[in-house]
Amino acid sequence: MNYSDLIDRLSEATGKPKTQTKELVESTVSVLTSELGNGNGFSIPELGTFSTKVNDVKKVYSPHYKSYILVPPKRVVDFSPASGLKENLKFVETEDE
Amino acid sequence: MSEKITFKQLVELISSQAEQSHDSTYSFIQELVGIIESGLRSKGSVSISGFGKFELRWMNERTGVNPQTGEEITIPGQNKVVFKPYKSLREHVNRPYANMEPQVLSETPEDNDTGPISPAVFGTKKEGPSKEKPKKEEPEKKKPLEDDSPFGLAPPDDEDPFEEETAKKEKESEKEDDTEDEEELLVERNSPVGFPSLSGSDEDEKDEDFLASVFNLSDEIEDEHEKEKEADDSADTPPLSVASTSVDKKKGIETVKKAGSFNWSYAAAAIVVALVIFIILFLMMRPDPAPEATVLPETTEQELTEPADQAVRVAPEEPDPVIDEEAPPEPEIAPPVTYEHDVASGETLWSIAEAEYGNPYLWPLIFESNPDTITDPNVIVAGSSINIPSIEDPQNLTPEESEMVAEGYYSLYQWSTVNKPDEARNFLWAVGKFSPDVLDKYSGEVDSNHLSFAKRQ
Repeated sequence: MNYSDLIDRLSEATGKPKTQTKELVESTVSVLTSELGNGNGFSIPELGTFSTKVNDVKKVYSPHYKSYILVPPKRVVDFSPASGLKENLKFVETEDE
Repeated sequence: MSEKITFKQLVELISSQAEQSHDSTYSFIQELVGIIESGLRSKGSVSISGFGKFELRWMNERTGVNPQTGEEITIPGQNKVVFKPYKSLREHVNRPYANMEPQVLSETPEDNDTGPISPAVFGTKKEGPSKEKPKKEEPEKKKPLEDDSPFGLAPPDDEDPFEEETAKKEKESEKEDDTEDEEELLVERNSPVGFPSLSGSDEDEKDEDFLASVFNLSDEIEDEHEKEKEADDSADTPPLSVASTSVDKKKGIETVKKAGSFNWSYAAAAIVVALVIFIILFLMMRPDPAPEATVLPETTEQELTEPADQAVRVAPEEPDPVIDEEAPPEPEIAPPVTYEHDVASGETLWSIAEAEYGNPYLWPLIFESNPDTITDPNVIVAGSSINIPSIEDPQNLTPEESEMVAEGYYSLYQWSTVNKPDEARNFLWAVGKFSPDVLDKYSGEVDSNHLSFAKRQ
């Protein structure tokens, strides 16, 4: 489902105009992004838990440099779905987009 | 890093940003979640621009083990929900580590006897092969938010893999080159100090600065490698510059140890060393101009006039002084028509002959013409000045010129019998090639084996 479909459906469900729902979604996204940027995790009921974790330095072989390199650490977003959502969607048949 | 905010706080933040009431924000989020679920159910993926994409991924049926009973069970094929952050979110989250680049080590797979990434490294991270000491199993206490880490990493374990690595590296460093030392020093310095602190949530800022400095050094290391290579390439003949590159390397290691940008002191050191070399070479050059002073006016003047006349004059002069002395010490024995050439760094007699004559095989002629300056035919000193006999038509040597070349090869032969006896006879053969007369002239003095070799081919 693409973004515009999402907005359409959301606007229908909330009864709010599309422009407003779009702004609301954007505010939500901005808050979530900034919190994750600060390293703070959070849970959204019925959806799941967002958190950050740091991938530590790794020694890997790089074919580009043709030798071992130390990959620097990296902070990434981790998402874990809520159990209700997981169960509900386990055996769903989806139509291909 | 593993701090959490409550959903209530989240709602507050969104409400204030969107200028909505708490309740309406709350219900809005509920609706949003519902739409995401139904979107996943019907379409399999939901994308939120500027944030990320929720997707259903199919996991095939697989066999697992019931953790309680230990019996095998079949885990049916099913969907799982995944979230893929988009670029802006990814980059925003990785801000603290954004400037870091991979640090190239000089190890290649052949260097490690134990294989690409040795099992011992992974062993300490995950379970525990026999090598592990008991204490490593203790810090299994996991930080709250990192339980789900796919690597199963408990951060305190980090110290160990790298300590093992450095222990191995220290053993290997005895076998490996000096060039390895820089990287090993760096890794050694990192492990005891840097890696354990990676885990601490309170120490993020310290980590960032330290790690930033570690990984920014990768640029410096590469720069130093390049500087060293350049220094090595440009100066091969003077023995002094060999010393200077090793000095540079040592200075390079020192600057790396200090963990800062010390480019200025490194550059200053290089300049000082270069100046010293210049001064010494200059002093070396000084004694030469004196004896050449007398020869120079003659040779340059003669060169300006027609060389053809000189060739005639050379012929009668030459045979006598050459026959009398095997190793002509005086400049006048050398053909009068010569000009000076300052040896540049990287030149060889071979390359000079090729440049001047178009035929590098004539190089013994130059050797012969510089008995004072060139004692070892394989070594000419950059910055020194040598005489190059001028040859009018290198493709067709006059008999006199051929003889001179042959004489040159004979001198080489003599040098070779002393220093490199195995190759001597080849030079004698060359003598014969350029002038059979000269070969005959010396036939009484040479080793008979060499002579028969030279005459046979």
